[in-house]
Amino acid sequence: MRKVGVLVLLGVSTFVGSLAIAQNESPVPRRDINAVLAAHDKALLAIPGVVGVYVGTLDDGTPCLKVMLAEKNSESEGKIPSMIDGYPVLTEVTGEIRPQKDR
Amino acid sequence: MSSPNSILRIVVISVITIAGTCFSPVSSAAPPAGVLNESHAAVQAVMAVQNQVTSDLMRQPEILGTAVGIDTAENPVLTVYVDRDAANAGDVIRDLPRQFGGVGVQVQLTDKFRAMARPPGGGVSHTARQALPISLGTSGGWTYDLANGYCCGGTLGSLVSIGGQQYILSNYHVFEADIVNGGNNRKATTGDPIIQPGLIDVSCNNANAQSVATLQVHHSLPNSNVDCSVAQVLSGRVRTDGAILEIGTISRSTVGASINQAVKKSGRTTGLTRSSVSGLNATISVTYDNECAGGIAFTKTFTGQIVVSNRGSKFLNSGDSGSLMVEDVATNPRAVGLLFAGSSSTAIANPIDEVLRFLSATMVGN
Repeated sequence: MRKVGVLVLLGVSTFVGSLAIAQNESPVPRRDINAVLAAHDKALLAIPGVVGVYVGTLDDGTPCLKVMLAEKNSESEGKIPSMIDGYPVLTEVTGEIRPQKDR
Repeated sequence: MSSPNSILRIVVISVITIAGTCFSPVSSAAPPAGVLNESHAAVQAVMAVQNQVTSDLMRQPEILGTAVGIDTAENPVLTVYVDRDAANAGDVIRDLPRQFGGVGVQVQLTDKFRAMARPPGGGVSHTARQALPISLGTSGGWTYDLANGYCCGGTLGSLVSIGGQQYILSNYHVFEADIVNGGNNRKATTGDPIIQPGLIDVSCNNANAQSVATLQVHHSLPNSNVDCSVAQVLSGRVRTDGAILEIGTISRSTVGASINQAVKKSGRTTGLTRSSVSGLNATISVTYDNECAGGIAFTKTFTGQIVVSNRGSKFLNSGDSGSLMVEDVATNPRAVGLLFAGSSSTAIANPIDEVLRFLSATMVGN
């Protein structure tokens, strides 16, 4: 019974996802955003100038991925997709992230 | 013997006003040549007028001081500071003459002047040598953290318990990041003293600091996912309740981070500050030195980190490393993260549970 329920749920979510892609050409997130981040963080960090990536939110609370840049760099930004697995991707210039010891 | 007014005048004259002119000064000629110090004739002319009129002006409680300033054309003028909070500030400004004896007058609205000898935050210093036993959230570090012409330090952040013993919790890079003989012919070693305040607050001379704990190296970096280190407390040197300056005691329980969660910390450089969590599960690259002001040791990529808003480094700045980030509640807040890195817009914390798991530790608290 439990297995059937899970299958039905999966089927519904797949259907809804497909519909969204067909109608909006904007995929609805299918995976948990943390799994998406884990799958893409290394590739994003490999882009020159990227110092970090994290799970944040848009102003309306929508989950998104935020990519941290050491400096404003249109070449780096051009390599960062605006959407990954249905989640918006935003860039922000944070500067280098350094240990906060003083000298 | 300086009077309060002359002290104020000295203070404000050195500030030389930047902006805030409410009406145009009289002078419109080209700026006078030479350095505008107290020997300059144009400055002396304004000072002479200032001496004549300041006493009368300051009979009005809304007028907080005067100074020699410069107008937008860089001509010396008399700057009159008016209390921006005064209900009748507009009337006061309107009634001020536009010149005194040919010297232009400009108005600057200002907050009330306050003595700055005491640090912000209710007069609590996070850098001064404390009476024993010390509270945490204070300046500290490895007693030998001096190399390459610099000394280094951070924050003794909080107290943890490991195997029934109490330890100060801070960062790896505050306590034990000296991993080469390099500039001081020494590496951080278990048994080395941890001092309060850190060398950066005692002119790099550890004779002016006090030993409060003994380093126990854990080599959390570069291999683990946390930047932490501990030092076993010397008996009677640290408050056993783990109280943190301006936060007080904390809970022995911890809490996970959540987006928009209100947090606070108490650290060596910025003292007690507040912010909010802006991101979770961050993957972050951080580069570490191999000793104080040394070369690059390694670049570490952390995962699962907490991101905190840090506009203008007001929440976390250099020297705050090792601070404990707690939930922003008044009584016995629960620990959220161990702050260790950041930039002028972003602060990063290790999730505290991962730190405690690495150390097999628990927070000391209620």
